[in-house]
Amino acid sequence: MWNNQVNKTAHLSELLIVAVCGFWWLIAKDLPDFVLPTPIEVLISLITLLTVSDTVGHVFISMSRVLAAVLFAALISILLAVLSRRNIFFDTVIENNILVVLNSFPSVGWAILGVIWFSISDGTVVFIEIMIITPFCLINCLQGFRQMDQELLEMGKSLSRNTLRNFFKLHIPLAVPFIIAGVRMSYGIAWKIAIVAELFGASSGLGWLLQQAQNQSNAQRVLAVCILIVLLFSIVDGLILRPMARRYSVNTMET
Amino acid sequence: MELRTKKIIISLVFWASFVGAWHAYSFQVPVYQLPGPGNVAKTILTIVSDASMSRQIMLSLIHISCAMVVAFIVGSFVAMLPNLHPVSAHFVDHRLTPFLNSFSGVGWLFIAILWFGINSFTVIFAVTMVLVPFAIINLRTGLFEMDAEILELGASLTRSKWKNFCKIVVPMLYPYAFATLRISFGVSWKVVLTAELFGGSGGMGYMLNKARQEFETEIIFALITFMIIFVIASELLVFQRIQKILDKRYHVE
Repeated sequence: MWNNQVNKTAHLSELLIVAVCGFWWLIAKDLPDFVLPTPIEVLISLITLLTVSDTVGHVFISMSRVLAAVLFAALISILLAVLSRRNIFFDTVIENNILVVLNSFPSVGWAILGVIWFSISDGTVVFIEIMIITPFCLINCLQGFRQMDQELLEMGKSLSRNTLRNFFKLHIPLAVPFIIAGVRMSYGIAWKIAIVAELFGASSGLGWLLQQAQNQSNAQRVLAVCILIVLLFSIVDGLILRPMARRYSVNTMET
Repeated sequence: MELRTKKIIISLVFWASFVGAWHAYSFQVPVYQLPGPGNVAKTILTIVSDASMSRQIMLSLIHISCAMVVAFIVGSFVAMLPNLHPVSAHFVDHRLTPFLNSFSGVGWLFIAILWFGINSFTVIFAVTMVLVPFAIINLRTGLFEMDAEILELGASLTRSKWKNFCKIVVPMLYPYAFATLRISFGVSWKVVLTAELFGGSGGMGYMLNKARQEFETEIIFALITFMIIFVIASELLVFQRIQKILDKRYHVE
């Protein structure tokens, strides 16, 4: 019965979305398109955007840049986290200095510096995105490697002297929940903030598409691209990252 | 040696060698690619002592403060909505927050430019929209994890909802409200420069854009370095201290 009630409020909640869209339509219908298009116009714009073959290419390029950046950021973070466990020197340098500075570095600063240093290329975009998302991933990885059960590690040492084997069979599995949480967060930040890299360093991708639409004062398209980004984010997050996070969550590991 | 002193010495050694390496490398490459640390330090001093330039920094601070306040108010309103009308809980938690949370900051910025033109309002609006989901998530967590027994005790002591809200709910939310402000501060510095660069008529992002177009790399480096120092200083001198007081008061281990 309780379940039924939850379902009922959920359905009522969905009605709220319709209400919000209705409200949007009501405001938008008397305003010119370049100020606020109606939801229907945005939907049409989104559909035309998706049927043009170019868009698929832009989506593919942006997605591969984001995935490459997330992968590299995760590898760098794991490496730094492992290094920080070695001795107090690396621990202080990485956690109290490098992380703090990276964390307060403005995202647009990396974008400008990236273009000055490496000129405009795919590699530059990925570099900028890596620099923006690394601190978010690093925080999680550091926590993962710090909170490891010391007794388990000791046991591993007494069972095998092989450091590599210990690392892959013990350290990594113990840190996985934190690494996945970090990857999930970086993936979100990459789409939300790091897309700014494509405004400076690229002539392709969704960020570039967004800028083109803005230059033409095409509000429909700006909103359509934004919604496309929300969809892309939600699909990968919902189908891959969230199930993975749930599979390896800290709570299930403990029980 | 005490751990704290050890850490300070290591940090100093690290930064001394970093600045040394930067200084040595800056001779190898053209100035517009990498100005030396001495150059950058001098530029920072010029910026801080120049009235019109430090006014731009103040403007950025005003943008951030306005965005933080508005985002906090909007976020607390949305976060409390499910407590007032339970029907909206699903909408807020599973529809609105994920949507806002995955909406691109650049998207808000471009929409704001189309709506309001290039001015401070656009900047504040774009930064606010980026901050709102953080505020909702934090305050929702605070409301969700509130001790039900204390709330019940309050309800049994007085029927006045307003009194209960002010005397029990709000004080129990302090740690989460503070966490919201702390996160907002960090995130807003990250995005405010982007917003000012594209949609602002002033502020540090605007200065950055001008420096970029004129290839004045010293100014770019100086602004970024100044900002990093400012953010770290406020984190160490203000936020960490308040956090300590709150942790003691709320018995967080």
